[in-house]
Amino acid sequence: MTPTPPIELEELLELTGQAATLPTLYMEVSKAVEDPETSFGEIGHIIGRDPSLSGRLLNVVNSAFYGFSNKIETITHAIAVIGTAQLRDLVLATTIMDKFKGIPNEWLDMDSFWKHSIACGLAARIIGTFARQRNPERLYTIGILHDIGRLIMLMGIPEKMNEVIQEARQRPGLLSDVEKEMLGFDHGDVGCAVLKKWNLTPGFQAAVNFCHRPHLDTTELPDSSIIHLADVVVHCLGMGDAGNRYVPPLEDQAWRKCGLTPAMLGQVVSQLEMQMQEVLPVVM
Amino acid sequence: MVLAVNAISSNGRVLLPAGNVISEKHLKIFKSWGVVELEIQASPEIQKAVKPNSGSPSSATKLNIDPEIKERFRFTNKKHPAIQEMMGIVLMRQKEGPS
Repeated sequence: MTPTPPIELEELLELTGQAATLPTLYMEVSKAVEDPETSFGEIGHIIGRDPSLSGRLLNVVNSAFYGFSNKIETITHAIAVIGTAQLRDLVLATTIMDKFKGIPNEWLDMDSFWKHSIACGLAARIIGTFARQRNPERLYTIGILHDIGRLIMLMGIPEKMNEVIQEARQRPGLLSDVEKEMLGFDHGDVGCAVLKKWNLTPGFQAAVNFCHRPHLDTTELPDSSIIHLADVVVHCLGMGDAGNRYVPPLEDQAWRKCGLTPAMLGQVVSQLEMQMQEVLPVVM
Repeated sequence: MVLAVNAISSNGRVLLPAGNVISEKHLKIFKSWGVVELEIQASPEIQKAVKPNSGSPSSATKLNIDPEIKERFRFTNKKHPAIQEMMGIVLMRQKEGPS
């Protein structure tokens, strides 16, 4: 029997309201990218208004994340090399962390939270590359966003969410199971609802919603399966902490959809560790 | 030097299957395809000097497993080949210690 939730999902979203909105600069970049009339220079100009963001983006583009042999000096050059949609996704991944900086470390260490999310994004992008996915940058961004629902819950219902985290630790149990049991929804449901509110693509919404239960994903995309595997890999390695301390069970169907062999995981881990060393300091 | 594991490019393409002898030309090609590391077979001298299987992930299961690691894998499907591989990797890292 589903318990009567202490709060409805819609109510939670209203409660977090303004705080849980998309960064303005991302929306401007997104609008410019969708407009075929906009030049690379104009997109570069929008991003250039935030020198800290421009610097961080260039650091990412020049890191082991891409491994380009020549240094990329300007945002316009970066757009020309990696593509507009890819840069837009990188802007979202970078700005979203600033948006949630105000959450106190009382119940969840925010550095650990973002370390887990970044690791998951990097792992997903590496797995996507091995799985020969086009535009694997989107997987990095989805990885960064995959547990965003938990931050919304911490912002909207901090005491209740703390009870859920403590309950999961005491039992012990998987945090998403305890969320569902005590609240009637889990952070995947919340994350999906927020992404929908933000008008992000249905592919992003489905991947965040189903990354902890990819067998329910009815879309053709392998994204939820790739994020699921990335999340399992990162939990195995104990990189960061987004509240759940246990390696979730790996769904075999999702594993098969990714098309990797067990022997390839060693290479995924080596690349992940190398990229974490370089990317983490520049994005956090 | 003999390749121990398939050399795979960053986009997933197999560049050279395991078992091939690596030449200078191969190294040049690997570099241009973004391959940053390779696993090679140990020479007979090294194989003799090291106890059988002492470096493989499976042998790491004989280690005293850190209770924290054991607890971490509590709820996952430990019999799945991918999870077994990951457990091997984590245990190898435990054995090697912090880098």
